[in-house]
Amino acid sequence: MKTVLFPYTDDMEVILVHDGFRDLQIIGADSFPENRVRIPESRRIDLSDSVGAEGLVILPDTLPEGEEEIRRISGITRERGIPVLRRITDETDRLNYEPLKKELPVDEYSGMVDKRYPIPVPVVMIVSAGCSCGKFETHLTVSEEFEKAGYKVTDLCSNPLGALFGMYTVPPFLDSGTIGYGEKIRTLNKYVWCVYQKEKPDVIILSVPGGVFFRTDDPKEPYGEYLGIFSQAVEADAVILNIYDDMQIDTQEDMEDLATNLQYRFGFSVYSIMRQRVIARRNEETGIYEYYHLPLAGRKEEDLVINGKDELKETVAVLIQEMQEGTSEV
Amino acid sequence: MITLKDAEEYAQFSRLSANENAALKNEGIVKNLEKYQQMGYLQENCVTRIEHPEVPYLEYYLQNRIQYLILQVTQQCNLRCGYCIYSGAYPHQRTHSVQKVTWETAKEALDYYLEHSTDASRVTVGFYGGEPLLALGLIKRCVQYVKDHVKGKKIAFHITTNGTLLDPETFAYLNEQGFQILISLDGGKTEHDRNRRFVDGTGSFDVIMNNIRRIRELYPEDVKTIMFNAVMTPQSDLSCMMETFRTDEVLSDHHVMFNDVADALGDDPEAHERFWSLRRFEYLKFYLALGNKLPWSAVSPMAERALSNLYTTYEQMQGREQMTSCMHHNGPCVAGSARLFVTTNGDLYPCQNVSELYDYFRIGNLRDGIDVEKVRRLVNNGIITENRCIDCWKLRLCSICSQNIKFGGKTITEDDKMVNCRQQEGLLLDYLMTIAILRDLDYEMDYGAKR
Repeated sequence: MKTVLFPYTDDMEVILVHDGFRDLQIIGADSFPENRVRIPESRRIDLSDSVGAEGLVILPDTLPEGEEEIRRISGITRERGIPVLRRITDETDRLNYEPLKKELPVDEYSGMVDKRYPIPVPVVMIVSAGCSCGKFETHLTVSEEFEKAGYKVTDLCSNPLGALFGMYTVPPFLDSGTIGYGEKIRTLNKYVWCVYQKEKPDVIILSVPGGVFFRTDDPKEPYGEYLGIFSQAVEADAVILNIYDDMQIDTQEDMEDLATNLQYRFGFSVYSIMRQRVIARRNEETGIYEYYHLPLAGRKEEDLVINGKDELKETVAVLIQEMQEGTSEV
Repeated sequence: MITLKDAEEYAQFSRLSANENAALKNEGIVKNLEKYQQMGYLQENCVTRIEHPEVPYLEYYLQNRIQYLILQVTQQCNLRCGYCIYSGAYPHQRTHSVQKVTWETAKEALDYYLEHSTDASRVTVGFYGGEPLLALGLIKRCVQYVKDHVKGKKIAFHITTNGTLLDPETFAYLNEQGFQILISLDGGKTEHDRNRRFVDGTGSFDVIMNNIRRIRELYPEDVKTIMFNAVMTPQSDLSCMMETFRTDEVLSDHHVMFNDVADALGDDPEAHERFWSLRRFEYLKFYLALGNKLPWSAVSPMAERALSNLYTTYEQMQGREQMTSCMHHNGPCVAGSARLFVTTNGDLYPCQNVSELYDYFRIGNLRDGIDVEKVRRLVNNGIITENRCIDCWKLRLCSICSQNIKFGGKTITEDDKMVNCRQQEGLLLDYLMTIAILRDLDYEMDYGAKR
């Protein structure tokens, strides 16, 4: 599907890097005037220019400050019949949009969950120290590498933008305030099994929202319970852990201590630790965490890659080889 | 942090701190040591290097994350306040002048800021003087420029004004643009006019209050967004000032900040003693109220500020996370990123509080940009006293910003910084004593709780 990106954010940059993956074609990107300069020149377009009739424009979740500009853009897209996708629904929003998500219909997995459903294919789980720690990009890269190796991949992605690549998004019951922790675990287990039954993949790749260490600012999930639910719902064959750039985990001993900590708390073994070029800082004025994706040497087009993609590809290649040989330790 | 109430334990630790050789052979002492070590206290010092944690990211911050631009629109003012840092009484500060920023320089500053704040979550621009409302026309141009060039972020504008030029029309404009307005007002007429006078020597209180009353009549709800800043000098009648802000029908609805001007005391020990004894009395009343020994009606709002600092320190003292080999004390912000102060001639400084006469603080100019090495020196000021900081018990609790260090203007030496170090030690020991006394008064400072 031919797509236009607006505005240009760190997530949009990740999508641009994976242009062409699973039939997603990015025509170009546009943004608000204050950060249009971030877009590589060769990929920068003016939304006012004509785009293909299939073009989709992706808008951020909520942007009250940018409402005037978004309305202008919505006017353009409506006039040209271009559907607009947004990440998360906003009940107060009066703009026309289609929600960006992919979920199983409720009746396909609802009902009493009275047993544990074993997932008969390998599961690779991507987790991170905290929010916005590069999971989306890691997930896309891991999926791409598995597909290149000939695997049929089904994904459950922590980022709703994963739906652009045909990935399932986080099911709504995980945020429900009316079902308990235990019930969420059982329902998620059944949900993943139902996804498996529907898609019949060779491997399932999951990325888990939130983080291992940081208290998030998400009012729906303040204590980082997602990982506890996922780790008990689905047995992972390999866990890739993303850490922030400034976390002092430098020696083998540090990494082993960390792995032991996670084994104790969540019951899984860490296959690989990936240091991301991301730092988390609390904004003094607002009191909430902000996440900064540090660029590699300048923002030239060839440096669009945010994180160490080569290292990750090597890690996945080794994992695939181990899985094929049946020699994987996990 | 623990308070030892058991007399025997206290005696044991006293022997340890007196470096008695036999102390470590005492079974009881060793057992207690192990007990507290298992709780996370008394850990081995692992610090080997002093470096600010943001040093590796300075280039990124300065390139992409300048958060707050403060634009000096004029160095002129229509008042001549007695304690003003630009009055000529402070040898390391400039004086009032007729210099004002041109539109070209202001635009250049805004362009620089917008280009280097792409990763900041919001745009914040402050206007500073002198008296910034003397340049209202230019401020309006700046505001429109920002609004034309920023469409996807929250925009905030700030202004600190003496209030004499804040007529209802000006207020209406600033309010409509979302300005946070801070007016300098030192309490009632007597207190305020003691220092805050026009160039001809007349007091400014009546003019300011007339403006506020008129604004209040026309904009009864919006007027409440105005905040006040009250400066307390050694001559201030504190209770009178507090009473004014508490009871005046015009002022009582507003948030007020109180600031001391201890610097103006000079070397007069009697003035210092008078200044601090009044404050200590207010703080004492506050702590007595916490222990239910005094009614809250007797306590001034200024003293409540003290508790905020005390709680922050108390929470820091509770921390038992192991320190890492590389640490730095608190105090320095990321100069040039947290704030960027641009003077009328386009020079760049980390904030408006530093001396514009010291090249030490000048971190660049609009033409050449920010000098990362100069910023590194300001941010990483812990290395000035590295050898002392590595072994210091208060490393995690200390807070020293270069702006607060008195020095000759060329470079900050270890001796210069040690003056602040000793002040910090005194302050922290005061806090420790206060916490212990509050416990004796049966007041427990709950972790994370505030009054």
